[in-house]
Amino acid sequence: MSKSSVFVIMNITHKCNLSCGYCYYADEMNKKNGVMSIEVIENVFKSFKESSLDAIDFCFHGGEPLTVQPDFYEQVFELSDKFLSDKEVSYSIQTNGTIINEKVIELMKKYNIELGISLDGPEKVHNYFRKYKDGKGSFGEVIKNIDILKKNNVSFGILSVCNDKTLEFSKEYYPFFKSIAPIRSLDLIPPDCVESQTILSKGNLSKIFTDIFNQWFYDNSCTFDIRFLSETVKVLLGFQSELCTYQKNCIRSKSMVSIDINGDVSPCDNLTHIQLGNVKQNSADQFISKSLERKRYGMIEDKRINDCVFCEWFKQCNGGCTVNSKAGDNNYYCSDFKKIFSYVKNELIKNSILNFNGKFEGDVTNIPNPKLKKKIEDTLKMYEDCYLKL
Amino acid sequence: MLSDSNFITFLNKEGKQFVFSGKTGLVLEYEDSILEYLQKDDLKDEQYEEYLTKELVDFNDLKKSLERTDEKPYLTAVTYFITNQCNLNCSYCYEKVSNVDDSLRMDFNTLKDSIKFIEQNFKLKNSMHINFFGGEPLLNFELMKESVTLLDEFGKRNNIFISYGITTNGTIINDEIVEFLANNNIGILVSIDGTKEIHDSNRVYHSGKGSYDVIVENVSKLSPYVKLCARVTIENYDTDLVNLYNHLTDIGFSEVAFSYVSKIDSHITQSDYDAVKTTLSSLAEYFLNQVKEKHLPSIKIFIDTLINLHSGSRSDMRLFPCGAAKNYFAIDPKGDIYVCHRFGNMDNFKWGNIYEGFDEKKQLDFLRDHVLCERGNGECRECWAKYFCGGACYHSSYDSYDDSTKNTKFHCFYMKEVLKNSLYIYTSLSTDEKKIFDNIEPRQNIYEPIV
Repeated sequence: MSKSSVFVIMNITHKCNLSCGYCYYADEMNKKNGVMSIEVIENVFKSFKESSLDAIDFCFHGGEPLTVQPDFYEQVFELSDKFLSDKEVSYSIQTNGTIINEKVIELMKKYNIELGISLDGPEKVHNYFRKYKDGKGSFGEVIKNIDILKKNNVSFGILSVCNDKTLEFSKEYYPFFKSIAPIRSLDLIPPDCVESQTILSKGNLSKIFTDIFNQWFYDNSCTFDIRFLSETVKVLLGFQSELCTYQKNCIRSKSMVSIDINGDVSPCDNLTHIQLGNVKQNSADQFISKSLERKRYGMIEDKRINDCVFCEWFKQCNGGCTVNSKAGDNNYYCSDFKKIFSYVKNELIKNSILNFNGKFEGDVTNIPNPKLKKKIEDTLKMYEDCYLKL
Repeated sequence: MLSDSNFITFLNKEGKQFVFSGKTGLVLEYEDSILEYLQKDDLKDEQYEEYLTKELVDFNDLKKSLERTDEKPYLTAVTYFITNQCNLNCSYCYEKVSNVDDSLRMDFNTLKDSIKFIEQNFKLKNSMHINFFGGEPLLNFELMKESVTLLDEFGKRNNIFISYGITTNGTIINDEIVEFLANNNIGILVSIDGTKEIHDSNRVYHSGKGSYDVIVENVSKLSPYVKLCARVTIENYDTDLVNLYNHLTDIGFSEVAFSYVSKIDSHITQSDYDAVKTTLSSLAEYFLNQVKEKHLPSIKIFIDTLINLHSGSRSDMRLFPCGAAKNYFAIDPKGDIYVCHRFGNMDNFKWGNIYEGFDEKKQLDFLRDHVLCERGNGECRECWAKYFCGGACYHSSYDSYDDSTKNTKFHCFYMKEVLKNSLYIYTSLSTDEKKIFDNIEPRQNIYEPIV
């Protein structure tokens, strides 16, 4: 049987040195201070040690995780080695990219940590929201640090939240990221819907998507994956997706958990109201596979997407991200996603990747983007292997 | 050809006429050219042959394929009678008919040995469904817990996915049971007959007291965490099925599956048949109206049939009514192996014991005698519902005629009514509305026949 793994978001601190306009976390930061204690961290590792999991991918998050000193991380990784030596473990850090120095670089290299840097696009886009507390934009510092990383051969991926400003520069977006290559990957993310603000108007996500898609899809010298785009192609070809928004009922899925400063476990760091347990009291097997709360919210989520079965894109979309759905309403991005699926499907048919019935027959030759082509080839091979094993 | 029992014509909601072919399993709009083709026996047309008159299965080939082989038979589902005890005393219980030793409970060793027996005597596919049955299976909850542990290990060992189900009377629930059922993803069928008045007229404790109130309370404890399917036994053929469905979903059920109480043909009257026809037709109309308002009612009989129609019955045609005797068996506390869960304690449907062996010859003989083309002395061959139906439930036929190869009049009637109503619903949907059936996962119904 395939190995069992889980992606663990470690909310190691609420502290942050920036004050980004759209931060969904700003409220929490003001209420709860502090850093995850060594005690809690030890409990995290203990609970995973006792579990039946084969592999754990830890992602350090926050706040700004690099406000925590490299020495602290050394302690963390030592503990991890001590408890999880017979598991496959990997680490990543999601950072705002403003606190990169020699010690940080040493840490990245020593423990083979994957770095993810928040960069929203060209300067005018990035600095629109991502500012220091004094109102100064952080673009300059991030770009400077990216150069340092490159000089030190530390690879990194990019996390990019899009908004209405992104649309203004949507045609410059892809060329900009090409110019700072090599990057491992680009994660384009629609912002979460928060009651008090909508920084991306309805209808604009699909426009941003198609503008970027047009350039990326046809770039036969492309050097990095844009997950949102490639996973959209993948689901239209009939494969399942690793992208959480395309999951069928992510709350039932056991592939991710989020752990807060005091050890509380939730299925996602946007769903902290769903308490699956605490690392001090519960084993990983308990909060991953045997939580009644997970079942309860899983049922509610099933009900939410009940009538989505009437949609022609149900199999690809699976009802969208629950965070962006308010009770009684369609998902905020529903009409955007319909446009996105329709657009990409058309492009795939136009390029004879899907046949005229919209079905994929396994032929990747007409895929222009080499990164995308490789991704689909690998996916085909994985499905083939699974099939043969059965 | 039109009077041929292999075809039916019918109208959809808009009054458009359609024809359904029992030979190909396809439904077509009834244009003049089709009428002409069907009326003239000698008219040759490749396309119409393909769509209407070409038989899907060569019955001679089919019979040959059921000759003796040296291969072990497949097993994809098992029902465990984990106890013959029950805390209720339902009036129509078919298990009371046989001489049941009601102190019988399956023990851990029997279960363990049955798994070894399965591994040694059957071929496995990539999944297996295990159903816990009884009596009332939750009276042997301890064994259920132990079983799941053992069976999960069995699954891992053989690289197959194990799914679980339980058929329960719904009267025995506590926190531990809720957690266990939820955490092990056990599909739950609760036997409940409708409103309190209807339910308590049959499903009573030994004291005579009704069980409805307890069940409703227990459902409210379970339904936040798991999907519950209501398993309804209908005694009164007049029962309003729409009200039944709404009532059960109101009290917390996600899905409703109903079937009529086992009655022999000679006890079913013409007005009973008329009542079923009327109530089923009303249910179909309700289903259609709900779909038009973009709600999908979880009425199992229609959903299963519509998925089948949508994917074309070529992909899922039944050559037998269900998996019983083919890839599904029932095992009782003594380790005895029966054709299915309805034949418990009936010796001529017992095919061995886990300590003595499985009678493969009996199985092959049974399958050869009960394959679709042999049922009812061949009457299924010229029936338009044949591939959807697969033949009557062996138990119902045996009950009515002491001959499991026969069909029962009620079964034939009911299957045809279900298919007729499903065809009506399907042809009344727009192309977009039909796409729902691409979006729903077909459910494997191999352990429970349609009726």
